Amino acid sequence: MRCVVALLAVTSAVAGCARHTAEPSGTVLVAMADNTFSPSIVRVPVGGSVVFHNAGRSVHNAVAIDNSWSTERTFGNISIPPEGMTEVVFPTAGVYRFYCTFHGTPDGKAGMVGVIVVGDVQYTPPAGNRGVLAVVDRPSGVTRHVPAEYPSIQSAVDAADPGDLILVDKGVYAEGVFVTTPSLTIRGVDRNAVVLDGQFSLGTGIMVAANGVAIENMTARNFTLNGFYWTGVSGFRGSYLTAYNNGDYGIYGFGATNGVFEHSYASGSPDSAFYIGQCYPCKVVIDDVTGAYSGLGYSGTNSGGDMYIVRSRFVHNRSGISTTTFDIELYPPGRDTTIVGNLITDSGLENEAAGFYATETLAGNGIALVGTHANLVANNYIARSRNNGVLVLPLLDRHYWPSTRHVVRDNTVVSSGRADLAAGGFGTLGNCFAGNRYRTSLPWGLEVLNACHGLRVPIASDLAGDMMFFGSIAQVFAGRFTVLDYRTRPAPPPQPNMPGGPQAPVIPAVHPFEDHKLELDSILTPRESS
Amino acid sequence: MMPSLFSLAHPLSAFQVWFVVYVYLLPLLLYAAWASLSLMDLMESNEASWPMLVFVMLVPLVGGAWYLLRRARILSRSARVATVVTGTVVWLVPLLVAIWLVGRPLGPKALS
Repeated sequence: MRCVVALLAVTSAVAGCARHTAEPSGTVLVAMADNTFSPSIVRVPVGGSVVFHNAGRSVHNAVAIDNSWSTERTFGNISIPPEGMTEVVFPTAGVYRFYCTFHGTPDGKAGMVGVIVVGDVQYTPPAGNRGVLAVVDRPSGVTRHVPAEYPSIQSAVDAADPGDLILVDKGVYAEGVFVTTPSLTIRGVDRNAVVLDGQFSLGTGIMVAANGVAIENMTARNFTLNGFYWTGVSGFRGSYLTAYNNGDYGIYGFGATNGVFEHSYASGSPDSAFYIGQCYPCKVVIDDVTGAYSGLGYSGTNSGGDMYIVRSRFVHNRSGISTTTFDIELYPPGRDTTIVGNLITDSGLENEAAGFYATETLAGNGIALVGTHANLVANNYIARSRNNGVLVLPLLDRHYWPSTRHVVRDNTVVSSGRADLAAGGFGTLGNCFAGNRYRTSLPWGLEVLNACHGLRVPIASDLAGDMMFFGSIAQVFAGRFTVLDYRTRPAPPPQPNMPGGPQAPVIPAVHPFEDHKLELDSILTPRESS
Repeated sequence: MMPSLFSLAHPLSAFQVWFVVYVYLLPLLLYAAWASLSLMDLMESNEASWPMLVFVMLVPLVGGAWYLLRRARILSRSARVATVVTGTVVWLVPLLVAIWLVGRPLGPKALS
């Protein structure tokens, strides 16, 4: 079937098979890392499916604690080897807890365990052994000190009540923390000296599955998956965080809405430094962050709707910013993302960023809008992209996703290797370009012929670019690419501490999107010296 | 310097050239060749009709190929068959290989 779709896409200019509506595809990916499921809590519609992919180096599996299903039945073997995958369909609504028989407990409570919620079933992750706790929007006034009162961050989190402040003193903490208590604030006393270290064996620095949790002023490094990770929550905030040399994402929100990432730095992630996925409307602001030396500076898949990336820097990545659509996650297509006032330089220019095979297919682009809709790209400064400064391109997954209705205006795009502005692919129509400072475009006259006001002709894409994209995919499949090991990327320089430090006001992240005042009109195009 | 319509990505790879030439450029050349041969045959055979002209010109590849195989009179049958079959094979074999290469699942993580 996939070949048929590919044949249609490659040989036909007919885009009638494209989908423009937000229909959940019903398939969700769960990565099996060493040794955790990521994400560990997922929701699929009735009749939907979960694709389990072994992204680790050990064998894994997934088995329901009631034995109603297992990956053994679909994969044909109890052990799924690295890079193996299998799809499990869930025809009945319910909550399905599961575990890896090698690395989790059969009761689904410890180790490599997870939960699949099927259909419109109410599910709230339990807060340890205390049941479901309510979100509070005011601080409790209680401060729990680590390690003075609690030997580990996890023990303090487990003891905390909603609204508490977990204050972490200087030190290196070799632990991964799982948060299920809502409205906590987890704060380091010194951003550069409070370090969670995964030692390249632990999965995620801090994983949050509770609403309203803020993490502030600390560093996570050397985790095999993510630095800081919120999943399936409403209300989240990451402020003054540093995440580097983590094996998947740096600072990461998945299926999470109403959140803010601000004043943070992430680098050395083979996938993306910052990621927002599977949400609509997201209500997320990424403001004043730096993403560097990663496969992607920012990546957003199937995300959008009040989704803002502003005043940030994405430098020395394989690609700077990418918005994409994939059938493998819910809520396609990605759409309605606003990218304003960012500095994006040296994308794919030097082979100094971490990466993995998938990032190589789109390497060398400053901003890539791939299979998404109606993004606003304005007042960005984009320099020295190896291939394209701004690229608009369709994406072929299980469906063919054209890239349409984007507005690209008032950007400064310079020194791109192939074209400053580029649009490619079948069905790449309805995008507009205006007021950009640039020198080259593909196809020629892209901005003149596709203005935001006035002339708009259907000469709007360069199919050769598409073919080269397919060629890049083939090259990746042939294994002819090299990426750098994330574990070897340089540590970032010391980063600014949060104003007020330990004494800063405690504000549970219940509605940070509304609290974060954003005036887009006041955001100017940055200069490279900034 | 303005890039050409076929400005290449960096680093350029044999795969990219292959896709651009066989999957993108070659069909355009086949369309032009088949359509022009069909038109020549139509005119010289004095059987030209507007519907046939429109069909050959506006149905890319299929129009020209169909005319050459089924309706052409002036060109020899062996030349017509060789033109269409050879062109099709030269196009489709690399195309099928290309589809095989990129049609496999990119991987669950894809570009996310």
